[in-house]
Amino acid sequence: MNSNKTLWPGYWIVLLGLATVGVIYIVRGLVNGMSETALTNTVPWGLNIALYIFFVGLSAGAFLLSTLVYVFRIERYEPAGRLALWIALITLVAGGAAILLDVGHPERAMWRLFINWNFSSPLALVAHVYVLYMLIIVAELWVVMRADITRLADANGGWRARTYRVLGLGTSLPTPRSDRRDARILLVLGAVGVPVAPIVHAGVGSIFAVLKAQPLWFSGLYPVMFLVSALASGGALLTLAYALLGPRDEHYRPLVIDLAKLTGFLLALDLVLYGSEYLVGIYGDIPSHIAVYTVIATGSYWWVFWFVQLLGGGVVPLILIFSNRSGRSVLWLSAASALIVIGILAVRLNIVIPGLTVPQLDNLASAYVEPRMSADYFPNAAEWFSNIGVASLSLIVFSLGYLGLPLVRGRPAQGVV
Amino acid sequence: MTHAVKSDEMARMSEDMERALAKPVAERSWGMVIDLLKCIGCDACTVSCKSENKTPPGVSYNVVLKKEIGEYPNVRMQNTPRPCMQCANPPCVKACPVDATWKRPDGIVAIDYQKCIGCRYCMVACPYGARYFDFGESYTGETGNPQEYEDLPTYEYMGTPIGQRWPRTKNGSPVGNVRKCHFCVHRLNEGLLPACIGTCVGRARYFGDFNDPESLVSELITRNSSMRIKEDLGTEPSVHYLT
Repeated sequence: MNSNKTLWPGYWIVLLGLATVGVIYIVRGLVNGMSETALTNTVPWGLNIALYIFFVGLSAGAFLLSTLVYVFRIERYEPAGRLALWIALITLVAGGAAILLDVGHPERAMWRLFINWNFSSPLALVAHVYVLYMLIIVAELWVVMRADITRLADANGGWRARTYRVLGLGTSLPTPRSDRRDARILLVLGAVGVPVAPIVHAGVGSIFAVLKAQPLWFSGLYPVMFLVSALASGGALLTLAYALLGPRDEHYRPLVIDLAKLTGFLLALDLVLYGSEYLVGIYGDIPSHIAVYTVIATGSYWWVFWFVQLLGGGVVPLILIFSNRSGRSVLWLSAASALIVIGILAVRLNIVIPGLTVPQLDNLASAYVEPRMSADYFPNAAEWFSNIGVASLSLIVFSLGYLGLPLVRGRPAQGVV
Repeated sequence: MTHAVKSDEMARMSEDMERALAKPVAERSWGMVIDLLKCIGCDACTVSCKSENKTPPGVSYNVVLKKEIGEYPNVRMQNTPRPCMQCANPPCVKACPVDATWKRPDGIVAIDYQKCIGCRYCMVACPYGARYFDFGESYTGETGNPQEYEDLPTYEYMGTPIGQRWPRTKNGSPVGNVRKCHFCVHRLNEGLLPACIGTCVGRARYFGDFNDPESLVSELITRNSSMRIKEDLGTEPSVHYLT
């Protein structure tokens, strides 16, 4: 694949098609409210919440990998730094969209979350650090691309030059002094991001962890598991993205292998943490806990746990990454990364939904029988398509950025990078 | 074994209410006592709650859990009405990101219909499953003969804030909000007992002020064996069950 060619038309056609269908469902959801979903009063959190934690995890993971470049100055990873930041931003916004579409009053949520403070609510904390975190990523992205954007403004003409000048906020061409200053600013921003990003995602984990009503979630390990899953999924997505989009230079293969191995270690740690959590819970044999593990391992969607999460998202990628032959092949490492990303989506779904299908009290499910009280939940078409809409819109913005912004060496074609 | 109550319970509870309402709000501590030996699982309380509060499909502040214990011929039904526990240490209040639910001085855990953003965090935080999301659905809306009562304003939180009414609109609160049992606070304001208390066929439900040692509810839990659901979680429910 020649990374200098514009992405082929078929990709855009499919993407725009999906985005159009998605937007229709998003608008329907905003107009008709939560009744468009298949959620119930026993399972009030479903696909959108799982996608929120999935996207925010990807973001935090990708961002923390970018700090390896901009804070910890590990040169090996430098070619992937900007791509990591761009992924971090796009996935963060996608997560925010997923959750904003999942509240009863999105118009209120947007301002009340920041005016009405309840200091004891982890959800309130996360809303605030989410915004701070987003500002950090945007600032870092701008600073890291600024020099190249000014060069691109200079090297282009017409609307392209105008756009780059606007993006560059009218700053002038880089000098060695401005380069040094930019590097310092990046260091500071990244350093602030080093605690903020984990607070965001461990914070998301603590939203679940602090609820004593939910045996699956109520554990000190949960915030840590969320963070490690975030790192593993972000690392996998970054590996895959760099394998697909990175310039085929002398750094390409070693960097893909490096990123994949790092991801592999994080995945292994993730599996250890989950294993500890699950096995200890099963040993404890408390009925309310066992009920949830039973749903996960033997319920209607048992195959998601065994095949998508454990096998496809755990065992197979680890083998692919750490065996000699596949571990040196960009193709196999890309496949492994894709499997990890999908596997961690399954992990997120299996965190949010199964616990809620076990009602809080015995016989609560049969006490009052009505569709919106049901303990059975599977996302309906409206939920799938509105989220496909969010994902495809995100991918469109991501692709436009890849095409027009100096994110990887050698792109865009006209201009010095 | 039955729990005998001297004199008519309804009269006694009405007197208790009068005394409680004469006190400042912060000195009352509303609570419920439910006699599990008297509950026959008829669900009249559930129906009266739905009727009083005009709750939409999917929302039922009160439900009655029914469990079969033992094996025929040594079998019985255990019926457990479950309103909101109005916990003294409510996990839902801690969880709300916009401060939309809070514990009133008189013990009732209330919801501000203007603040609630419908994130449903409080719902997953509740160990009793007592909070419900209003999906905006209706019983008769799509039958071709929509009934007027469904669109009338609910009596809940009338006048909070001052002059506020809550008519049923497509997306306006309480649609898109979380709702729950509030011990019929609109009835308490008028000196009336909650709907489920008066409707109970078996006279199994009692309501009153736990801060008043002379009240029927205080007497019942001191003189009989009682328990609360999931007490070990430390939520301190205000609903006691006589066993």
